[in-house]
Amino acid sequence: MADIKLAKDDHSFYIINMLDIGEQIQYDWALSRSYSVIISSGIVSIGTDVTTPATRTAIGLYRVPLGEKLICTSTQQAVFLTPFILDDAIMEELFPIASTLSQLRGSSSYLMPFALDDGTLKFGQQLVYDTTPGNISLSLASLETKTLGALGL
Amino acid sequence: MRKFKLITTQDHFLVLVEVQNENQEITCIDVDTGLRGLYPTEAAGFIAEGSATVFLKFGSGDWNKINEVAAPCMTFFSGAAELGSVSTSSSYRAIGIHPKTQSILDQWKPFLGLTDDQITTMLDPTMRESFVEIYSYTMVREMDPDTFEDLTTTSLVLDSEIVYL
Repeated sequence: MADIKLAKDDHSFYIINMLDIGEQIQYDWALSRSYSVIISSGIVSIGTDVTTPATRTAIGLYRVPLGEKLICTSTQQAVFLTPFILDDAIMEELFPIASTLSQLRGSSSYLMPFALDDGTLKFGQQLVYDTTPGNISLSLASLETKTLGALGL
Repeated sequence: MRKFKLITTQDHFLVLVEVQNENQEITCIDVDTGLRGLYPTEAAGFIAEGSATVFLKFGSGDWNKINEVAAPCMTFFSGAAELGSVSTSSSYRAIGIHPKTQSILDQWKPFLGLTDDQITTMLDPTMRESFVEIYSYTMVREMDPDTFEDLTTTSLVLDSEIVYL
């Protein structure tokens, strides 16, 4: 099944999107500014609710225009990342509940378990595709739930 | 062979590394200091494809093999040590992700060999809606994936072994 993981460091918040063959992830929200998608592995057909999809092969980039909702379908196993600057005002659109955003910004958590953490170097656990077929529509509410869960709240 | 590319997006700059065979060094070397991966700010990376071994070196100590990593996985590094890495798969891709701000770029300027003009281009607000490739290059450096020994250097013939007729 298509899957969403989260990560964060001291400057950015990352949505890590994982797709098995033929699966789709939609973001059920649009932002007031464009943002970038990094197709880090695989081949995807990526567009929005407005813009006709285009094929992108890793490592590829896609710009989601302002006011449009991302739709991404894989033609083979694929991972794409959507990074956001933590202190950017656009984060207030991603997290409309101020207390959640405040907790996210103030936390030292990386929102993920590490396979190795020696203080200098941190490696997240190897991400595993969920091979049960299924698509995801990511709402802001489910993003908040996932974030609070990752924060352990 | 390693391909290295620096690209700006709306809010970040990306360092893309693609390696096309085993035993190739992945980490970058500071051209001024000769140090590897002693990054000026916390660096986030995503290992997108393949596998690699990772080494750390503190001060003048030896390289210590720390871990073997396989994609996909997220990684974070803060520069208290030198970082080295060698591909152990025939194809390897990784992405470094950094905020595109003046202060971050100023810190990374010597490490990435950026010019003032390139930084101006990266921060130009009229370029925000474009992906801008700042530069790219290709290099070959073969390293031992267990010891981080430079195999390119050790394959050279020493002067003392050359007989002049």
